[in-house]
Amino acid sequence: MEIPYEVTARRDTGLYNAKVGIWLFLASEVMLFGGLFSAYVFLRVGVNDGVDTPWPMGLDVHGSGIWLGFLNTIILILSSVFVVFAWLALKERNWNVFRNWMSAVIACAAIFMCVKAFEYNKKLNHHYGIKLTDDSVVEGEIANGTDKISFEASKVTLSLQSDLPAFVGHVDGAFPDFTVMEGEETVTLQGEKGLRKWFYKKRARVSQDLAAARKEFRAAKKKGEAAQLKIVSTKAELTAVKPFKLLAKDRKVTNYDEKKLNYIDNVVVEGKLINDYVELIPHQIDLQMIPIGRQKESMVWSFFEKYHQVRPNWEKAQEKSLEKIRGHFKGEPIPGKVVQSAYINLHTIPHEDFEDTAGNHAKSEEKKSEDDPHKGDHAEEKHGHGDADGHDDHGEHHTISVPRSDIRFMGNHGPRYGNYYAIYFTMTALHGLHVIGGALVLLHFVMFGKKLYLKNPEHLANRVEVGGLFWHFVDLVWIFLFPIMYLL
Amino acid sequence: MSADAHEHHDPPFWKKYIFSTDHKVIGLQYGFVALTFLAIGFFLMMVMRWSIAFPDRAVPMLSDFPWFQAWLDDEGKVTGELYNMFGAMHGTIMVFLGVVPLAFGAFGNYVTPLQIGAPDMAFPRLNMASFWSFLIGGIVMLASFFLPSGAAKVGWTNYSPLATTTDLHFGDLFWTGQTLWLVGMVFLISSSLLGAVNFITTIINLRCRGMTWMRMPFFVWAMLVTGFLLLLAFPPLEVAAIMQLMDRMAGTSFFVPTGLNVNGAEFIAAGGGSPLLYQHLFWFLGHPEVYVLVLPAIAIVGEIIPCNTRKPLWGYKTMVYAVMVLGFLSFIVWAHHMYMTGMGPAISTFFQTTTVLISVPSVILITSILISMWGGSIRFTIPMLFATAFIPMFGFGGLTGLPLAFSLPDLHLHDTYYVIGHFHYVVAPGTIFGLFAGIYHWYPKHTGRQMNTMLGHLHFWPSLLFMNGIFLPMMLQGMAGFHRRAFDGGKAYEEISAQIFMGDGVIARAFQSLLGRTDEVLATMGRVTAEGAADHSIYLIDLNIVTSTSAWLLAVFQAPFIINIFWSAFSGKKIKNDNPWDATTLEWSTPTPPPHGNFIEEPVAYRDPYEYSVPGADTDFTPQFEPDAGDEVEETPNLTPEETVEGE
Repeated sequence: MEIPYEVTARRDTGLYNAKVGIWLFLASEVMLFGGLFSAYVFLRVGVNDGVDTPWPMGLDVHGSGIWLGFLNTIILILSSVFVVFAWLALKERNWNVFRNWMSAVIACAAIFMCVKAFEYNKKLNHHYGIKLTDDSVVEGEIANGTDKISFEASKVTLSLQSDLPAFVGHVDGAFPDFTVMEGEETVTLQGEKGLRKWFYKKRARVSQDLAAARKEFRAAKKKGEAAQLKIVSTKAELTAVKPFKLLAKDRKVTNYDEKKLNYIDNVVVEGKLINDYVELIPHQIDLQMIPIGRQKESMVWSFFEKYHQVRPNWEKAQEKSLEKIRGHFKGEPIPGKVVQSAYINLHTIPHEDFEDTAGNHAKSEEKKSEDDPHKGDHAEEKHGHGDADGHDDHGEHHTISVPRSDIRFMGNHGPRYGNYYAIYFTMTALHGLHVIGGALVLLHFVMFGKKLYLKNPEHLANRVEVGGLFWHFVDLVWIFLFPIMYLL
Repeated sequence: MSADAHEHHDPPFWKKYIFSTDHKVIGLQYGFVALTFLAIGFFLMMVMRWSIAFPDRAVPMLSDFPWFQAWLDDEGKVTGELYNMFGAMHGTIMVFLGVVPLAFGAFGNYVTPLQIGAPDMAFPRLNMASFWSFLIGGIVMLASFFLPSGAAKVGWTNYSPLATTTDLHFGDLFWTGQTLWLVGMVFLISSSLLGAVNFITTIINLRCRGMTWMRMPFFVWAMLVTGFLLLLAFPPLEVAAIMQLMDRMAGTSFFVPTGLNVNGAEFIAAGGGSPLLYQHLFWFLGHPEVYVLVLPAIAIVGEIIPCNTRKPLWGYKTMVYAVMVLGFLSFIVWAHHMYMTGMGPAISTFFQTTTVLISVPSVILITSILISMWGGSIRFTIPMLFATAFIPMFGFGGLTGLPLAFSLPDLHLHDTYYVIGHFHYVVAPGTIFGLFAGIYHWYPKHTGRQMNTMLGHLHFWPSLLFMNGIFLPMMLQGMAGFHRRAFDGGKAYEEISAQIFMGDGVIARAFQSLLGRTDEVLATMGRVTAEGAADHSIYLIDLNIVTSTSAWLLAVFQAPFIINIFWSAFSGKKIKNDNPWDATTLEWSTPTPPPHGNFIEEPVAYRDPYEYSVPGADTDFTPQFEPDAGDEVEETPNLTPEETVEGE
């Protein structure tokens, strides 16, 4: 059986099947990206002044990185041209020319993805932001692992009705051995594997016991007897053979103190808190969310006492711009909507402005991860913790330490960081998947198309045309993505 | 009869019946899987109905099953969690895994290519991928029941931020029902997209010789429009699913507003998201989806009615245009599901208008079908019984939607049993009756045997009775304000309704402002309404037992149908020829069952699809495939490769 119009066009519609199919598919793709673009508009227009974090300008986020985006735009447009040449070569029945042009398209796709990976890496690993409780923001680079709570654990209490506990993924270094009481005897669980095996087995048994207890209870109830539900313990206590280190992610921890970490999955880890300060190498202060006139009082300054030039310089500029705004409103009260440009870029401040600029960057960071300077006591040094607590000899003036109690929200510039980043990552990643998918299909034509070319070159040309249409669409999406993500 | 002109060599069993690319096998696969899911969805609902009717009693039988041990409470009663889980999954399974696959996947796949004279779908392998993607989605959904978190629990609409913040206390968020619902949806959406592309391409490009647009059976038109609805409406839901997946897994705030409070604590997220955005994205799919559920059923009924009344379909062209208008309008009515969200009166007004407009083409369709019966010599075969019952049931469902279309009455009826009754009238005795009719109608095409008539009657009459027994009381309860998610069968409602009438005196005060009566009269009135309210609520709560009992009996009377399907395949009455119903459309010209490639000779459509009782003809039906000297065939010859000109 043969499906008609696979290669040749039907006369009354003028189309072969695959061409109808790809245009329909593209229509649904338009709806897919259309939905995302609509979501972008909806979210950006829906920002509540003074409540939500202002939507950043693409230019501000990317800085000089917009050239990378521009480069990617050029690369994709070029590849779209190349794909037409490749198709044309097939129409002229010239396999070698086709192969060369198509390889160029795939090379373009590869370069595009590399640039993308570079941009992602920069955002995820080199940009970090901390929003303090008064909504001021410090951005910079996180010092080794301090975005996690480090904790020395010795005992774990877990529930046997849930999933494998989350702390398992947070163990730093070798996975510890645990001991657990099984009735009278003590059982040792060797490493992660032992824990898993024991956990699943034990969980199954607990659920069996629970079911049996309930069954008994229901049966008694049915008979009208005064029944009592047998209590089955669903908790288990694990003791670590040797204390081990946990680097706990904030999202998985509901609350903690000096001796205890309470995980979101109701697991309690007992031990000793090592450090819960967040260490940041600051690049920029952002005071957009602080009302005009109160920016001087922001708590962010308490972390910058050692940067003694930062504040006076900023205040001078600030006064100037405030005057300008006041002049604009001619003595009338300034509406709450007006946002003063409130970025303070610490990169532009000369190095001499830092007190004691001894030691180089990398070295100091290494040191920090080895011996941590903070041994608790954060309640006393809540504010002004900064670098003012006698660690000058370490030469760490370019990091600030912020206690978690002062932080409302923090994170790298990943999708969590705000809706701009969320939609940026979602849309570019989805677009990236389309690039990869399209490139794989085109690669397939180059690598395995020769056989079909020799048999029925028109069929291959049709396939390349369809693939090319998809490639054009991918290009078109980027042409919309670039301005809204990088420029606006 | 079953001479196979294109027999090459018999492919192995697994290739022929499991990983098949034949549209008929895929249609049957869709059909069986969808019927199974319908049964599962029905079962979930029956457990829920127990909880509503007898909230104080343990569920019979189930408490011994290991899975239920964990989810029923100590005494064996349904817990709120279980009820929510079953409620959410009942909706999801019925809509996405039951009705749509049965209507579009099964009937569409089996019948469409046959009716347009195509050898198969345009992309057979894509068709297979579509089915397997659907099956994976379904398995993911079912598997989520067995996780420690259970399946999704926040309603079939999965509204954020509730959906975002549910089950966050599990260590690995991926393995929670809420997340797997989204993953399953992504598979189901992909399946629908592949299916839609395939259907539309097939209908555009694979029509046989003579099958011009206006010679296509109405069923094919409905499938074309349904295909477009799926194609264009599903991607926004995919967007919503991806964004909610990001919210759950990556911690984004697409649907999380600033300062969201969860269980008394501030939810740690960047904030700035919009729960309303989710609803817009969801209902942009959600409303066209309603027509995806309904159009195939109307289409099946539109095939069966002319065949059994021996008359052409009345107003065929009008129906074609109506279905196109319906398809278009269904894209601009979605926010009538959202009057209560505070979108604002201007937007509400726009959507009220479009919603009322869309009833025009719907009424045209139903009226045309009804008029087709006028003056016909009707054969009340089993499919015809279901098709006939479809009309008033669907009509009732549609008309009860009118109060919901207006934002003012909707404020009162929103989220009550009235809404449940309304849309179930559309899809249960409406769509599902249409689908039953289709099964009885096309069954002989595949098996060569008729389904048993007595069992058919035993299936139809009780089903009709109990369908109404389920959904009619819901209308009354809903108008009295009975909330749709009350798992305790209305205990809370009883208290609240008494409070409202007695304490607040809302109605009394309304009378005061209207009539300016004195306080004395008001006091009397207040007392009367309070007493009335107490009686009223008790009477309404008793209706729960009527509804639930009807539901269980409805389940019992599906047994004849299930028996009929299997029994008749081997022992049913053999059909006399390939066209047992004396129908006119092309699928009846194929051998029984149709071989791979469908047609032995190249099919040609010589005439319009519903030429019944043509004056002067020998028989009371003149099939599309019957050549006639007087008929002209529109030639659509193929182009040779050399002739193919680009940009034609």
